[in-house]
Amino acid sequence: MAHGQEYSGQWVALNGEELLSHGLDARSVRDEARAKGVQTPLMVHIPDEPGLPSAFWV
Amino acid sequence: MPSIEFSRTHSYLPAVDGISLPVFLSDGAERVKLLAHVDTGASHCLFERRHADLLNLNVEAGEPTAFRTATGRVDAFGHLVTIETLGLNFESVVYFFADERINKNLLGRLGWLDRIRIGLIDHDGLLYLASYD
Repeated sequence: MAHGQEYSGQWVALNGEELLSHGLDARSVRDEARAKGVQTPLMVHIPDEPGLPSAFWV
Repeated sequence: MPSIEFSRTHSYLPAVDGISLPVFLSDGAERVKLLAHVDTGASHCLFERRHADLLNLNVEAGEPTAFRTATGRVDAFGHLVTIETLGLNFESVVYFFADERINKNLLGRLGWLDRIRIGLIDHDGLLYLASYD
């Protein structure tokens, strides 16, 4: 996601490229997106350090 | 020379963190959309706990299972949900991490990879998918 650093540690709700809402509480973020008319937004939790490469596998 | 046909194509960002694709999980009336990474090293599909919460699932009511990881054991709970990727959907038992601090979403072997056929051209960021039938 572009601008990931701005939202590090937060949940963001997206509709395509559009950022609908963001915050620390996933349900509030989803509800705010729904209030804007998007029933099933893409919900992404931005890592605390989004710029770091991932070794993966938890 | 064997050949495989695919019905879906997905473009992901090459050279960016992992191979991800959008996933819908649904249970009853609720549905969530998230980004998950293809993980051939994962035995099962594992998702962030908050997605279970958004589906109104009682996480601890699921099947308790421990998973081995590079840094030790993690606990998760299995739930039967509908999983949809690129328009292909089926019912699978997927697992939600007990620890809400784990923010990984993984499409692993049982419940996803074993239900599909998959092709990758990572250099071009292209993923091909078809149901296994």
